[in-house]
Amino acid sequence: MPRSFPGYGWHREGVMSRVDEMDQEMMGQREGLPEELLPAIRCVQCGKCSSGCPVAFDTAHTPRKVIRLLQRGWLEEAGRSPFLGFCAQCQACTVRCPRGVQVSEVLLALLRFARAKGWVRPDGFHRSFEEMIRQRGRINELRLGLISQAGRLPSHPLEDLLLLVKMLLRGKLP
Amino acid sequence: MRYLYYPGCSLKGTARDYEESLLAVAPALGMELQEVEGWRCCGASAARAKDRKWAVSLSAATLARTQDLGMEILMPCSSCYANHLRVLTDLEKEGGLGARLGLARPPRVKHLLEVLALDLGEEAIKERVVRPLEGLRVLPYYGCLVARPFPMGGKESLENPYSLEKLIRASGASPLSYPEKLDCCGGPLLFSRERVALRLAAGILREAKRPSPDCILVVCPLCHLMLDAKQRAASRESKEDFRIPVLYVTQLLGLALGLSPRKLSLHRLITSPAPLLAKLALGRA
Repeated sequence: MPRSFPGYGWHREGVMSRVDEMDQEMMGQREGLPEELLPAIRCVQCGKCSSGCPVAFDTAHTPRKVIRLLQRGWLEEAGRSPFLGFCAQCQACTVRCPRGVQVSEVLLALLRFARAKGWVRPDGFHRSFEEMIRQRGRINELRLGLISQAGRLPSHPLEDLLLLVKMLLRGKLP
Repeated sequence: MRYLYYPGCSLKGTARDYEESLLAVAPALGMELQEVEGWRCCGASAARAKDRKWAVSLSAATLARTQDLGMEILMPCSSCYANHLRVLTDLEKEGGLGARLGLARPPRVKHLLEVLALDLGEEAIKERVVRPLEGLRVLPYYGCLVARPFPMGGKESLENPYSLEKLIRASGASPLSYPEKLDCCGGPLLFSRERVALRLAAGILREAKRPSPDCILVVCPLCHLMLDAKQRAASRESKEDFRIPVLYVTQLLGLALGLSPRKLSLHRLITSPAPLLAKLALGRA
């Protein structure tokens, strides 16, 4: 790009370098943040992660907002964010971040942190998954599905029942 | 070419059609597969949400088991592939981690798509095709983890991969342009946020229906579960009619290689592939 492009030089030498300076300052300030969450400091809140996020429109928060909470040092608010339960780890944010923040890694680390602190409890699916790996080393999908659904009505019970029968007939369930 | 074969939990359960078609297609393509003995679950997304060290140790256990064989490991499941590759990337970054995990000579891990499209290649497959699937309109769907966060084979594009299109061309069928090919199928959320998961799957199927394809092609058991088995539920959730057959890449290649639909386990699909087979004049699965 030519140097005469309006704003270009300003962008490259002004803002970006100032951001890098801020980066350094903030890194120093945020020593209270666990190491795995430190990359959040580099974020410039451009929102690219959230615009491409497949689940952002189903929750009150977006990845950008969770990262912002971390930057402010509001660990508990970030850890209790409803977004964490919706992230499917699709990695779109991670490969698109212009600042190289591995957003999905940060969110996952935050989830682990929040669980360790007791701010959020793992749901039935996660608990039975973990238990199954510990006990058998492999996953039995039928058992996993049944256990994690136990105690609540599926949103489409008829379709689910039909699918169960079909899968049994097709030999897809043990 | 010989590969170690890591099936993963799904291919022994809900995705047994993927395994059966892979084991049928491999010899026809000159590939020899040897199943990893005593393989363990990679932990999928659940182990990583609990404890990073534990998650790493799960994948590392399988890798350590195979390191003395000096062979590359082929993984048909995108989630298994990404998890094992993540451990290998961490090994490179953190010195000393390899020794701690008992991984002195870490083996290479490859996704099935990578082996087919990059190692074997479009031309080599085309040479073995005996029944070109001419006139078949196929939608390539990658899903997330085969393309992200690690570029496949270290060189494939993160945002617009083209390997699946090449394989479709090799089979004689026509790949259709599909901007949603990297969107999330919602699979990891199926048991925790079912409605969100079904909405994501419905979005993919809705866009897939526009160019009126004969089938969608997938390379991951979880994508297949969401688009094939859960298609009816997604249809109910979004109040739309889809009815698009969803095939594994191995099933489509198998058809082009002259294998019978039965041998490729097309009879195990939940959404009926009958219109597709009728178009190819192959009768019932």
